[in-house]
Order: sequence, then C-alpha cells, then structure tokens
Amino acid sequence: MKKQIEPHLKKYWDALKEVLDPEFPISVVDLGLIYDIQENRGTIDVTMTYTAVSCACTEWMEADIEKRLLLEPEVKKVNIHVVWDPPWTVEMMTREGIEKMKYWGVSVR
Amino acid sequence: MTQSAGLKSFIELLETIGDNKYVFGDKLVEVGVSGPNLEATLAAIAMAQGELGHSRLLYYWVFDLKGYEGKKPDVKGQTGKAFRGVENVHNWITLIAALYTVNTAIDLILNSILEANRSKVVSRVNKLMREQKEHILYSRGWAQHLLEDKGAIPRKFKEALREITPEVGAWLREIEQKSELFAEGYLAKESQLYSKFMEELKDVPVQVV
Repeated sequence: MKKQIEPHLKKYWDALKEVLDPEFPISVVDLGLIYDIQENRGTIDVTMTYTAVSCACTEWMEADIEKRLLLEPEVKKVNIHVVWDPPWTVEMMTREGIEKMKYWGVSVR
Repeated sequence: MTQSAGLKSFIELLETIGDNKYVFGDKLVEVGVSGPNLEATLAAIAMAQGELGHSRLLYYWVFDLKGYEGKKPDVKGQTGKAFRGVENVHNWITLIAALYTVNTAIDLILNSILEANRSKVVSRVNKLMREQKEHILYSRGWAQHLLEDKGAIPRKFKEALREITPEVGAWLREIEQKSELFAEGYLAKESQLYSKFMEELKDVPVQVV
C-alpha cells in the first residue's frame, strides 16, 4: 500500500524499518502493519494493525516498536493504537516486503 | 464509573461471546488434535488460535468499556458465561455442531452491533468478522459432510445439533428482549436475531427445534 509520508515523520518510519516481525525477517513497515505515525512535542502516536486478530506476538512487537522509537533523542513517549479496519491483507505490504516473502518462498497472492 | 442499563447488558453480551470463544480455543485443541484427518486437525488448531485471539479482543473491549486505562489486565479465564453446550464439547461431532451454531449466532450479533454503530466499532470487529466467516464456512462444510456420512454419524450429528441449537436460540431471544440494548443504540433495531439464526441454519437441513 503506497503511503504519503510527511517529511518530518520519515525518520520514524525509517526507524520502524528496523523492527522486525518476530516470526519472519521482515520489518513491521514492509509488512504493512503501520498505518500512521504522528508526532507532537515528543509524543509519538503509532496507529497499527496485525496480520490476524490472534497474533501471538502483539505485546512483543509493541514493546519493540516503543523501544526503537524511544531511541530517537526527542521522543519521550510512544502511544500505540491497534485498529482492525482496514483489515490487513497482503496488499498492505510494500514492494520490498513482497519481494522478501517471495525470496523466502512464501506466496503473497 | 456509572454504567447505564444498556452498557451493562452490552458488556454481558460481549463477555458471553468472549467466553464462548475462549472455551472454543481450548476445545479446538483438545478435540481437534485428534480430528478425523490431518487437514481437519491442522484447521482446528489454526482456528483455536483464532478463537482465542477473538476472545482477547472482546475482553479488551470490555476493559475499555469498564474504563480501564493503559495496559490491559491479563485474561486468565472466562467469566463463566460460556454455553453449557460449548463447555460440553467432547468429540468432533459435538465440536462442529457447537462451532457452527454458536459462531453463526455471534456473527448475526456482531453484524447488528456494526449496523447500529459502524463508525465506532468497525475498527474493533472488522477483522474478527472476516476471520470468523472462515470458521463458519469451515464448520458448515463439516456439518454437511457429517450429515452425508455413513452409519451412526448423521444421527449423532443431528442429536448434537438438537442439543446445542435451543440453547443458542434461547440466548438470541433473550437478547431481543433486552430493550435497553436497542434503545441505547448498542444493537440495530429490527435485528430479528432469532429468525435470522433459524434461517441461516437451513443451510444444514435438520429439524433442530
């Protein structure tokens, strides 16, 4: 899914490219789990989803996301908002994510 | 936090759904691990994780409605509202009968919740409902398969359906009697849950009540 990213928020999107899904070596950004990032006076609000409601790694991933964003010197607090609409589908993945899946032999159609 | 009559009933409704899904999570593993074939077993285990995830989402929703802030408490058990027919699941036949009827009823209720308040609840239930549709399709397929099987299986499956359906139907009728759910906009008016439920069950042609 193509997203329009505001220039001042790009660093946070780039930071989350370093946070990998615990079950697969693909970032949460390339998986298309991150729907939105906003920043306000050191507080980051991340709106995200998971591939399935039953994802067993939600707490782990949220902790990783928070930890990585807090490494940015100006970030004091991270709020994570989990939403289920629009529901995640493979169309949410970036081209890079799809290529990585193909490399690992996983169908993404 | 003061709860209105509608909110209390709505919380009870969500907990009932969550509890049934919580128990399904266990039953799909306990029974599903010795399913009739490998495909059935794998599907049951996958659906077990799905049902447990759905129950977590519903319990978290209840926590929000009760005013919890920050990290949600751990869910260590159901709240005691699961149906007797779900708790009594003990083999593949009773599992399929319960999974099909209960999830069909839950789907009707969630549709009514969505219809009543789409903008507020869609982000909570949209994905759950998509996943649940797959569980219903799967159990309906198995229901039809069991009815067309040989020997005692069709009879036993009909008995299982006759056992669980009245309990589920009674729950839907009870919900329809709770005017506060409709008056306070938690459920869509004219939802006709019970009649829709019986209509849905016609896909599995058994006289169940």
